[in-house]
Amino acid sequence: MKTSGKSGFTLVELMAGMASAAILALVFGSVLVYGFRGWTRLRAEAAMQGDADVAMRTMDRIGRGASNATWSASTLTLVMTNGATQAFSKSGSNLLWGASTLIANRVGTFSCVVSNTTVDKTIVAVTLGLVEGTETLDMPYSIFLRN
Amino acid sequence: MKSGSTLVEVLVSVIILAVIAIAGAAYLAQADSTVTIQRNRMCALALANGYLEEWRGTAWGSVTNLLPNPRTGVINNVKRTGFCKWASGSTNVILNGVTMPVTNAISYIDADGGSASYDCVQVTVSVAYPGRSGALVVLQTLLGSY
Repeated sequence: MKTSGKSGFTLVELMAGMASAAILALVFGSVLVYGFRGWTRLRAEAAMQGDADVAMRTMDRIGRGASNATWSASTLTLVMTNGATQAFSKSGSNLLWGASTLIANRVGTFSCVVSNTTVDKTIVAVTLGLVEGTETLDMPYSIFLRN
Repeated sequence: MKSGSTLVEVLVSVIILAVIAIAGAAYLAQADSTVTIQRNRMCALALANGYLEEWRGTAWGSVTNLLPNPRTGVINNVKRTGFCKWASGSTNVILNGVTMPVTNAISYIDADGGSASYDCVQVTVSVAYPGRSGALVVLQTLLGSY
């Protein structure tokens, strides 16, 4: 049999191969980018929700023993039934219980409204704004205190 | 004789790999949706709990005044202006850019069939949130005169 002696790919084969490679790169590239974004968001959400959970549980545990509260200079002060005080304040991106106990470290905003609903009851309504990367989470928390 | 794959074989392989990649993307989209729903549910739960705390902090007389006299039955969609700082007088609360309709319902419970001494009010707070159909957080508490 007579052959030309040339070996390799034809133009059609090359074009088909390049088109296939381009499609695969596009599809897998998109999936990878989407997956990375999802993973980043998942991590941020888990971190913020974990912070919110710890902060709210701590405030709740302390607040159940409180009889009154004040909000001043970005500090929530709970007055306990025995007269002692427990303070929660924002320092940088940290939410501190007392002078140095860290209960959340992704805090963007910490605001509070203290209102007396009756002569013997007080509502403390806190909004904790958490930030992680480009993700944000505003978490509401309320507790009522019997004076 | 040439060896290697034919064009058809290559195209079939590409299609199979593309289908696998698209299935992976769909899985990731589902995971992303689950994270969003979980976030909304956590916020709805915190919101419902906040409403309950405000009910618990409300004077007994103010609660019973919401009920007709004689105090029987259930009142759905109890609305109180200024109730719950996130509501701003409305029953639609917007939290993290998500609208969450809140429903407060109260019912009087005549515990001893006459005297008001041991009677109480059952409060039900429902917060709907975007999620799979019927996504709802429902919390209840009992309020007494003591």
